[in-house]
Amino acid sequence: MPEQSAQPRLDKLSHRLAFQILACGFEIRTDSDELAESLTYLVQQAEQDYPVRERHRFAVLRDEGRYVIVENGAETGFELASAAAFDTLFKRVHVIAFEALPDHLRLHAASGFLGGRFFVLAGEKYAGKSTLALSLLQAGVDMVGDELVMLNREEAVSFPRKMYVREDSLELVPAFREVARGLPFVSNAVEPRMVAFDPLDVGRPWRIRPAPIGAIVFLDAVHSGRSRLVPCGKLDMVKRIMTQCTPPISGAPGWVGVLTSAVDRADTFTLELGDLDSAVVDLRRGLA
Amino acid sequence: MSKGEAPPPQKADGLEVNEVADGYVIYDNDREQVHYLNHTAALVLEYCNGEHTPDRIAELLQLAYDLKDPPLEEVTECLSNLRSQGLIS
Repeated sequence: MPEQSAQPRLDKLSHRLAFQILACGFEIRTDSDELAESLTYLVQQAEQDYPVRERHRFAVLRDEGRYVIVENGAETGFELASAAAFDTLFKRVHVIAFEALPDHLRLHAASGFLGGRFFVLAGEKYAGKSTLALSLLQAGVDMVGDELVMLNREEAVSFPRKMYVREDSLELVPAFREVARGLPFVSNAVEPRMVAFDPLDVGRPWRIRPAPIGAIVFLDAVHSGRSRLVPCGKLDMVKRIMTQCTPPISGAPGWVGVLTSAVDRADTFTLELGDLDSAVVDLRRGLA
Repeated sequence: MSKGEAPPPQKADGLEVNEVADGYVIYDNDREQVHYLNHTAALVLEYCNGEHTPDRIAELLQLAYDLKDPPLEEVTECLSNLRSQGLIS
């Protein structure tokens, strides 16, 4: 579709979603009810103490069965289904948000504040980060993310993203099970449904702000028995956490030093993650 | 150094050395590899300045850790590991 024919229609799009991901402000407009509904999985309203440096505008217009995608006024392509348009937007928004912080390394970790101190929970995939994050949230801890922390020499800040939790994991956090029934989700034929959850859904604050990392916990899934929080040597922690890092997209040198000094300054623990209740008790005590 | 004797070990160029409380994390920019050295290995690496022979490094370690004898065997093994990792030449 030529750009000039799409442009007059942009103002008439019925749905408008606006949100911030750290340095980027986003606006997505669409005339598709279905797409607008699915975008609630992506769009979050975390309060962010972070300056917006760039703004990006997307529009998705239905046109003869296609979903035409317009980025900052220029048509960039089309998809044949709402789900595909959602995937494209989801990826594009994240790429833009990462590119706006090119010198930050990405640490795959849940994060939160306890007594004003920023802490991260890292671990291999399926170690239980998200479920533990929900349990901590339920216990009154200010969890701010379950997936990514952006880190450079000056700051560490949680990447604002809803917590994507497997529906069956929510069985382990009964207090949130009912709430989760009404929340956005994605599903496919082979994996359990993933529910998009955030602190605001359960009346908790969701404030993201840069802060030094006060404590790093690496999760070792045990899956049963009492959890145990054990101090961890710095060298061992760097070795472990390195596996959960993605280097800065700018290729800037020195990122190992950034990670190393963050580990060196933080209190470091491993958590043998058995039952969630004892994990929460130990973390509250150990990180306070 | 006598004829045929290997030159004293020397720390490789291009290493980004980061210190933590219990050792070194070293990033080899050229090979894009990360190495983790405990305190003793870190100390051995520091002594690899192109002047100290393995015997001298063992003596320095003896002094540093107040050992009864110079740990030559351990130093030799450590130097072999550092060399195989490309951290010294």
